[in-house]
Amino acid sequence: MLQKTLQNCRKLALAVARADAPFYLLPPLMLLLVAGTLAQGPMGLYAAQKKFFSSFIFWTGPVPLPGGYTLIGLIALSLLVKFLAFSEWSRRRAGINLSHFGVLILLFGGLLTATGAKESFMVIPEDTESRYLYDYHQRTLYIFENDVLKLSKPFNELKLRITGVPFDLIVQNICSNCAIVKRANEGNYHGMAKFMALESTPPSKEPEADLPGLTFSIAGLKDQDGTYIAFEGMPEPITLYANEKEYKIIFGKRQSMLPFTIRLSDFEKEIYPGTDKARGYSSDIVIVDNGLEWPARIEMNKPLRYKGYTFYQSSFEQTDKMQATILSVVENKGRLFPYIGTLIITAGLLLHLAFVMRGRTA
Amino acid sequence: MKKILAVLFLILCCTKIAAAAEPELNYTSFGLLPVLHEGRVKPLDSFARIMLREFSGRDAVRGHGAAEWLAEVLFDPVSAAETPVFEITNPAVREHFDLKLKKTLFSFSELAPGLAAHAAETQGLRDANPDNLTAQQQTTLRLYDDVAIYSELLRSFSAVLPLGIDAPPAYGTGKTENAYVDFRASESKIQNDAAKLVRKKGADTAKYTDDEKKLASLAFALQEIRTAGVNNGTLKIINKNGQWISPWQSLLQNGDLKNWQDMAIAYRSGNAEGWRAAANAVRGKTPFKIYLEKAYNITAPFPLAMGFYLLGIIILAAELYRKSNRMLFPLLCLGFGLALHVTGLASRIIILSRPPVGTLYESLLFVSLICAATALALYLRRKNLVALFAGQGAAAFLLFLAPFLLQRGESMEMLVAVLNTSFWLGTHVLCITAGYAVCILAAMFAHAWFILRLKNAPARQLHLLYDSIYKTTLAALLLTGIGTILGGIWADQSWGRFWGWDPKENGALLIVLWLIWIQHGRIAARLNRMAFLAAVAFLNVIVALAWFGVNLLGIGLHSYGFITGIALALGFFCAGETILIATLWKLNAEKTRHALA
Repeated sequence: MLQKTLQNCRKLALAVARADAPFYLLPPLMLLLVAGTLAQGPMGLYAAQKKFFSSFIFWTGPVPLPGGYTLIGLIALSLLVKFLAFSEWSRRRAGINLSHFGVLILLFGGLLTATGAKESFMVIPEDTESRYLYDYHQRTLYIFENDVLKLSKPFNELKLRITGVPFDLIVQNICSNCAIVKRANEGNYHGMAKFMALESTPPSKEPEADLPGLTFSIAGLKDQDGTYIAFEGMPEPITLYANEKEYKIIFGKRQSMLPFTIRLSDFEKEIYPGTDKARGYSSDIVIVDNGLEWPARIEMNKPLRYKGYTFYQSSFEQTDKMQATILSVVENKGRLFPYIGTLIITAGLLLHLAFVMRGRTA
Repeated sequence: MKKILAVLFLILCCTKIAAAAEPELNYTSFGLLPVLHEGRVKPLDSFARIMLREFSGRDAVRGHGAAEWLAEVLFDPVSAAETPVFEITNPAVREHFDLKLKKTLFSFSELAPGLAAHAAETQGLRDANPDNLTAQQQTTLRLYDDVAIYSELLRSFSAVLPLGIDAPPAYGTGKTENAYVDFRASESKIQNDAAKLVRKKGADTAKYTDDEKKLASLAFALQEIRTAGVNNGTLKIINKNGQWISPWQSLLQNGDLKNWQDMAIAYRSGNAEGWRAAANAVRGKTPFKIYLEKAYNITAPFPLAMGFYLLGIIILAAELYRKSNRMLFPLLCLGFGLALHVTGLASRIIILSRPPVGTLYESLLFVSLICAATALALYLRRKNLVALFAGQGAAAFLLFLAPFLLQRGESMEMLVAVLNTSFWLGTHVLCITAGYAVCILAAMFAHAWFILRLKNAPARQLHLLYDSIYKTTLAALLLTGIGTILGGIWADQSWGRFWGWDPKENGALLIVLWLIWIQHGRIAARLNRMAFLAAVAFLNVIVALAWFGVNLLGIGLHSYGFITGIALALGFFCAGETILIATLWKLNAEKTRHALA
């Protein structure tokens, strides 16, 4: 029985590891690639990537189709089984085996990146310092008690009632892309809700253009009871008073903190003479960590790496009075895998090509 | 619109001046004058060519080269305003501006009334989303932009050009022809005196004496020329302590325009010696890069290389038709073509101080070089005649296409910030573009295999060609695979992610997946010989889509490569190639069936 099961397993593994597997799996992956690329125009980059590539299945009308994760996963599985169990370990096949190993390293790095990489950004005006990171996509509701964070709730976890504060906060409505409209009715509204209301609208092509927000009511604070609105980028926080304490409610990009501080000494935008075309951007910064500080420079194509974080020159803000740098910040444990994978694949393909060029014909 | 009116005024001012004699002038020194344009100091010859191409789509007008045309624009704006230089191919635009429908080239004077009449309505288009504009509206906006630049050029040296107005004796400069600069010292006095005159006698010039009329005319002309000139910064041709400024900016900083005035006088009088001397005096010591760029402009190495490649193919075909084995002339043509091609690219590397490929146009120049060079290498190594045809044919075709990829006439663009890295331009970009070239060669070989088989070529020749195709696809996989991964590493270095499913990245990956697929199909015996070859031939389509097609989507982080206007041509190419490959495959399959029967 065991022997039969093992035989069946071997048969299955052999079938998975045959060259036929990529032959049949690659066309759907190529079709997915083309469809996902073409869809980026009408759908937007982020939505199309999420639907086609960062998914196990996606729906075309009532028909489910395999997404990027499924197809790449199957190819990786086929390659892994082939590499471990059925590779021909000879000089003739050394280049091919090495290339396959390099691809596996690359795919493993991709898996680590897909599951563990965190992307955020920080905004630092000149001559100031910051350790706050802002998430590109995730939004959170924060409640501060006397300027100390009391609680935070991610946007996708906002429930009907929020507890943990000396008042009732009841979420009435949330919208991932709100339209601000003039309030038509009168009632017990507070703050900006007196004049405006939030209405849900379809998401934009690019999530950066969306305006997420929520409408909620407060109870238990007598004259402060009523309906409020909060949305990203609201100029002032909602301030409430309870038990002689001040509570501030802020809704915006999810924040986290670096274990060190970055100070911006100078941001420079270099332009080509006689034009307004940028030649390069750079930020002269000072890293402040554990009482020590030292200067560093971040430029286009020259990121700074420190303590597992990589800082990239991403953008900038400029007004008449100030300049601020915007740095992308990435934590990615799979960062080195593409580099290692590239070296191995290059060596493998060169070896195989050299072998073929030395005389073997097709 | 004020600019156009100001130029019209300048023209009216100058109408009394006799038209300049047709000068037999030498424009060598003039073309070598350095000028700052689009972020780079370049010879005036390059500037003239870019401008002329931008306006007219041509390298010459009325038989005059670009430098000669620019000299007329700068020093004889009256004539230049009558020179037909603006190309309008869209009949709807011509109709919109009440222009003659049968012509496509119009002068500034012909355009000015129509543009002035429609200025207000066109202004509204500037606030609209460019993606929502029709082709006619886009052409119209571009025409306004071009005319605005042209009008600035016409007025670049208005300070040193003759006014065509008799100055009253009290303000005379002692010259027969006076320019704005000649009255610079006395300008405020002239304006004050004219103001007093108006206060005393009113604005009706009928009450003025002859001298008072001259004073009023002079004051008005000086004021108009100054007002129209002070903001003119288009032609940054004067180097003031490392800062490049325009003649008017120089004048406002008390700069001396005497040499320029001498040039203007010499040009207008057709004084060849004076013209040369004044140009040399202005030019001073010319940097090597300026000489090199002028030589590059004159020799036009890439069209010449294309000519040699085509000649090489023709001679090779003739030799084969005559069943001759003489390869000297075809190889000489290929050698000359390659020498010119390499020289052209080397010149660009020196002039731009960066690796050779940074734009779509440059990628065509490089890919075509790799095609031709690989063809020569394959011939020398394996006596592969098909490679000579395929490599030179592909190189000539790509060089023919290259100028169509230039968006606004300039072929030596400064790169956007993210591309300003010699390391990645020299590794990822060269690797992936070399991969494109090898893919194209493999596809061309596959086409040739089908054709040769239909022509009953010997089995050994077909076998050797098939072997070349197999090895070329492996080389293509090596180059495109490594190039794609290097691109990912570059993206990791500049944007913080290795892979983002961006259209350009997906295009490169598509080529790699296609190559892996056909190799596995061959190994697994799922693709027979002809299916494998058809798949290799189809690489042309895959490469075209990855190279150009994804840029048409206009989305993603690779925004510096976005292009428009080639969708139809690309569609025709892909459809044509698909039909051709299907036909060749079908004919070969029929031939096999007949042979078996």
